[in-house]
Amino acid sequence: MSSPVDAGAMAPRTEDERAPLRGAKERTGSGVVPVLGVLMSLLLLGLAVALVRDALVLLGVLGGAPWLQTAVEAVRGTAPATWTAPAGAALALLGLWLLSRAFARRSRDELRLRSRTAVTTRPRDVARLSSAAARDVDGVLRARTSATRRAVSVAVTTTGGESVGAAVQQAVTDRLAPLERRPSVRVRVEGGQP
Amino acid sequence: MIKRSVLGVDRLAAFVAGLLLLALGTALVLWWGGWLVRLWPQAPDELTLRTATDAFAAPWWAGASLVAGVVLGLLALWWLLAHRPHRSTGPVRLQGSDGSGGLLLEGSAAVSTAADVLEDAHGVRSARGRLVRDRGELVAEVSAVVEPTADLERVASAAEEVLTDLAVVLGRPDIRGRVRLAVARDVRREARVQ
Repeated sequence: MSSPVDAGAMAPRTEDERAPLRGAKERTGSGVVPVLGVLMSLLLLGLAVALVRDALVLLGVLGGAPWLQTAVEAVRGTAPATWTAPAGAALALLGLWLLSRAFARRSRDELRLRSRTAVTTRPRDVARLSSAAARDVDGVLRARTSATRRAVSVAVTTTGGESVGAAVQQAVTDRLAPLERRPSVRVRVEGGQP
Repeated sequence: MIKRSVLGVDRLAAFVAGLLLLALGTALVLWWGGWLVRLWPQAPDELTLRTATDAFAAPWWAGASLVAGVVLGLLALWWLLAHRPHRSTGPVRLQGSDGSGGLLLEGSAAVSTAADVLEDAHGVRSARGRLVRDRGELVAEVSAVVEPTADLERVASAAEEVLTDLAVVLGRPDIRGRVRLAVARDVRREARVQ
């Protein structure tokens, strides 16, 4: 239990009775895997419905033609044609993608603030904080930020002078100071006086 | 939070489906190029699907189809419903409870109250809280929306304070805490009458 995630959580409780709740484990996302699960379960459900319906048709309970037999009749007699190669390649690529998702690592998008418990935020929110900090700098008209867990990139449009870039850099760095692992901050200045 | 075992089923299904699609796609491309006969000398020139048509004609097909449809349908329904997020917990036994059920607490109510307290902190726009089960831990989870201009340091220390009070109220060292901060998209001017 010495993973960095648990380091804070496993900190010994001091004699101080007024300690906050110990921090929970890091939240991890599961990416697209559960979405695929839902899609595949729906496909399976569709197949099950077709099977039951066909059985009822064959038993004379329902009218109409059995779906599965109709489908099989439709593809019977198919011979290789021009479409076969691209269709096969597309299916193979889809298969590879599914395999890659099956083995994909759980995603992590949590950033922790320095705290005795777990106070967390996400890159999207860090981007919003950074943009707000940049907009508060004199001479900044607009600010847009993209952020990952490690890096923040701020693009500002300015009417100000050369110093605006450095001022924005400072403002954003200060705003993000409470983060446990501070992302690197990069500022791109557009416009402004030369 | 979807159970890890369900995510495991999803991954396994994605793996199997990926392999099948990859094999089918590769076979289609090989078939198109005329290379399939080298790997499989009996490879047909066109799809006959004799196994399927034979099965459809068999007297047992209707019954088998019905049974398979019902079984697959139940399986698919379980799989689909397993993706409902279920994280809430029932009442929590407090320290000092003697097993007669005397000291039970609706955990989520306590966490919700803690969230209300956090809502009063400077820079916090709104907060919700509940007790959830996350990977075998009971977690008092507070989700707060903060202003883009919020001072993270102050918010973090307010969160710490709230979780400290909550630790006293719950009196259960095994319950963990987590405060998730989301940043509002826009600055709400004069959001609070001071």
